[in-house]
Amino acid sequence: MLYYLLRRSLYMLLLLVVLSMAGFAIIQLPPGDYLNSYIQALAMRGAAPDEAELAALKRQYGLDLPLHRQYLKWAGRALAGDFGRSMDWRKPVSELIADRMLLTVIMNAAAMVFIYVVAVPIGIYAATHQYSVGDHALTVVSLTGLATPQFLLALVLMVFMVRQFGASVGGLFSPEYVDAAWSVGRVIDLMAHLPVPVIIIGLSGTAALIRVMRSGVLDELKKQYVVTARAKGAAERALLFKYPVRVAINPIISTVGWMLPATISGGTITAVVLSLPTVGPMLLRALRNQDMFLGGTIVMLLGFLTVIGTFVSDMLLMWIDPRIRYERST
Amino acid sequence: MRRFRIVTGLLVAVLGLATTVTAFAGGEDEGEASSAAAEPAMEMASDAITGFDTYNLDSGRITITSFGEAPMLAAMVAEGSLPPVEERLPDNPQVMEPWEEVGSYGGTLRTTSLDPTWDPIIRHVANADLVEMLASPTAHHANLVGVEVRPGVFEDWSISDDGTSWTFTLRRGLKWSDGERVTTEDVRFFFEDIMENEDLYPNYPVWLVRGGESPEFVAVDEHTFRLDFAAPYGLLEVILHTHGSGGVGRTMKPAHYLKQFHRDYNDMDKILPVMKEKGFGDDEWPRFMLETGAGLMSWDGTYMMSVMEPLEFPVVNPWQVQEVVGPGEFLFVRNPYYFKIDTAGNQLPYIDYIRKSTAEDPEVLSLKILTGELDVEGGYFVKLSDYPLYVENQDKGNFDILLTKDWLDHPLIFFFNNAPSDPVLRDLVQDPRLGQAMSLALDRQDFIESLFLGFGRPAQVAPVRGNPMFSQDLEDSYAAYDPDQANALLDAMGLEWDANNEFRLRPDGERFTIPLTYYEVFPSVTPGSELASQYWKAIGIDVPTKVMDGGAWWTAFQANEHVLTTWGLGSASVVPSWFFQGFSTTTPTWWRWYQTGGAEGVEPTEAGKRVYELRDIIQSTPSAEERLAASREVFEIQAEHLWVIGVAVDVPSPLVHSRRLGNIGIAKDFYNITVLDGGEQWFFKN
Repeated sequence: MLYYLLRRSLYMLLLLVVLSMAGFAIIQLPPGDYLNSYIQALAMRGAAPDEAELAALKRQYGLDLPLHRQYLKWAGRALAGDFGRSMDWRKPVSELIADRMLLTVIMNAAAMVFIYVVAVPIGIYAATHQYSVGDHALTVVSLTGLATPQFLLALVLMVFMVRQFGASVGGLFSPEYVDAAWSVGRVIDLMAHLPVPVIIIGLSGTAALIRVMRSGVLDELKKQYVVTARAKGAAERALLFKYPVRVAINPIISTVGWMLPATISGGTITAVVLSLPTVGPMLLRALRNQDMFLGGTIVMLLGFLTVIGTFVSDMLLMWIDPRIRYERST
Repeated sequence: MRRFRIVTGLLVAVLGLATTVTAFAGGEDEGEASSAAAEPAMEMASDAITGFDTYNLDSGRITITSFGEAPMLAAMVAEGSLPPVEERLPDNPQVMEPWEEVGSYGGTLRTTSLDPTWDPIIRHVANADLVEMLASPTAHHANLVGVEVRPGVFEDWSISDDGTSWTFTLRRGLKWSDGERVTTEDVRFFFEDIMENEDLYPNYPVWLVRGGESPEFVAVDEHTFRLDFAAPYGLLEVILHTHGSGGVGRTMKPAHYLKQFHRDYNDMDKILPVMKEKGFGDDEWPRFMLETGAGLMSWDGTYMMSVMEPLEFPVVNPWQVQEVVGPGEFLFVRNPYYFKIDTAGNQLPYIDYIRKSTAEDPEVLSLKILTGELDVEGGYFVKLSDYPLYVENQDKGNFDILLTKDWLDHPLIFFFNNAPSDPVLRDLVQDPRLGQAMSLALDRQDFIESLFLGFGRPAQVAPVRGNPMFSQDLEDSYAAYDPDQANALLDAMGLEWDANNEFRLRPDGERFTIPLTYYEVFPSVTPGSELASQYWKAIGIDVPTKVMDGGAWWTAFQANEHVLTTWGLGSASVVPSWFFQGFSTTTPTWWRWYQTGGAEGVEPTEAGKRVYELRDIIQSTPSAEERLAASREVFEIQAEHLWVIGVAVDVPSPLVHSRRLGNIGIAKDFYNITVLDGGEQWFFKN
């Protein structure tokens, strides 16, 4: 077991190094660099870029260096925990990400809880009541959720909330709480703003999960051990939760790993549409503007979380399903 | 004839604690203005009020018996944490006549921008200028032709007879927002300690270089300084006035504040800990310095990004950052040392705070307007296509909509690259008949109906109405819809039709194709390009449209890969800066040739060379008349060659404002940015 953990950790480190290089290179792939985005943004504002300013920026951002040297400059400092400064925002990268981290995690964690709480019971219900009215109704709802573009749903819900409840538009806080210190009122205000993004982000995930759960349980229900258990007089409910559900939940556990990065960058489009101050829109903007340090750091962070998440889900699987063993049998 | 001024005389009287200022305003000889302003005050302490600038006062005479200030500042004065208003104001506060009425203090102005790192509204609303324009329907921030210019941060300015030396006088007694005096040391710091430091700026800004050399800065005294150029530079007055090149942030910096971070004044041992705290590497001192407020980019609203600590960075603007609420979210508070007063002697601005938020999606911005969550919005992010929606909801949201003039006089234009790399195409493009034919092929009324909701009128790129250069002939040049004449011109060029009678053929037998490459620089470029392509197909020219990513477009531009581009043109009336910017934009090889004195790039055609000659005249001549004549000639050449094809002018831009906001509704005939420039005299009605 210890050997396995060590080996996994080593692979994880290697993977992260490769990831950081790949992330850096991919951000640089489109033609031009941050300065080109800067020039085009200036043009939209009706301003001519000044050549003196561009020359100064190019040098100061190290954009005149070859790519590998830019990478080494960034990676060297990143190792010391210093991710540099964003060119676009002109702020320290760590400060920018930290500013948005708390709300991002709150929102996406709430969305995840929403997904599991809603999807797992419904999936089980749909499987045990196959082809019933309830199953059909839930299927229609979940497929609709899967098929509706999130941004559209976000716009519709937002207009609805504004029209019906007079809620403030966009964001996670009402204007009076945006810059207030944390207080009971602010928490309540946040709670009032959370449902819309949580439902929107959660809906498509919920729909997918319902289908996975339903088919998993259905597969198991037909197996002989279930029939045998029933024949021996096991109570239907105890039987269901003790065997088929536990088996059917495996694919869901093994995707838990993907949920961890999703807590940071999940629902990007929804967040853009709803103007939520989360990390997703910031990543999108950093990639579009080729803001290397910010984009690279977030990609790196996502990679890190994916790797950790995969590790966690592997551990969970071992714990939940006794059939799975990673160690070589001795 | 270097400038216009109304103020000419003054009388100062001091009665006990109350200060009485009487100013006469009239249209007397300009020459006397400065001497009058310099007249010593009677019996006054160092902050004597010695001069007065008035804004369009028809009465000709105003009397100010005492100064008023905002209650929030009065409380601070009573508490002893702020000097009294008389001491905070400069020696001669600038009187700004409110557009409608004298307002009352208080309130928070709410506004939103679509871009978290830049805000055009704040850029105009919370901004002070070196020289100002009298707000009027023709006043445009890139336009100094035909408008009245006023003192701002500069009290006085003059150019030597040979045009090489400019002398400027800073407003006496003007203070930064932390109470420190503004002196020529602040200007010297900018020119010598920042611009001359090669680690900070490897090159000098183009707008300051004349005859290949940077100007020499000479401090005459605490308030007066001179810039000596290697060649005549009459255009500088115009440039000082535009946000794009000149402006406060590009002429002076708060030296007393920035010196603590400058390595010429401090040991790096002291600076390094600050840099580290702000996330800079040890070798990043230049970047640290520029992002701490020493940079040139502070003009465009991004100055908010470089503020070290809220309230710390000194400004001369009406508002300053009090708090960075979050990424792209700012709270601004009034600058207690702002230099303008209203006609009743009340220090401006009227409004206490500005709350600036960010909406990353245009639909969210629209919704915020509809629900009345914003007090002012317009200029850039409010789309004309949403106008009907706003009209429908204005009572519910309690806002009014001004159909202001757009700073983008021409919302849609097509630029040629006059020297594309394909030699056959180059010969065709350089034939004026091609531009003429392509212009005649456009049914401009159709563009106006389908893109601009029927607003605007057909026009060629030419000086706009209200400009002294305006001429109906220039505006109408090849602007009528006449496909027959267009075809006749192309036939005369020898461009035969192909066998199917579908497209014309180039002299080398290939299909005549002009790729139209652009990016979404303004909202109308995509529908405009599609529509134009159809009209050009009708006269046998194949114009495939390709929308690009902005960064990719500029990369291709640098490689001279564009032939025809879609754009918009702000202030067509200002030939000097704007027309050349655009004109040069699509012919980078000509521009290179001009800039290197013929050493590199491609030699322009005769007409092209003439335009560059005229550019030199416009830049150097100290005579406004000569500048105007040269500008007019540029437009005459343009009207014949049509390097730039215009579609329509007078397409309005909706500016939405809360009905509670006063001193704004009257400005409906102004340019949108001119309305925003008047922010300090807006107020909330009770």
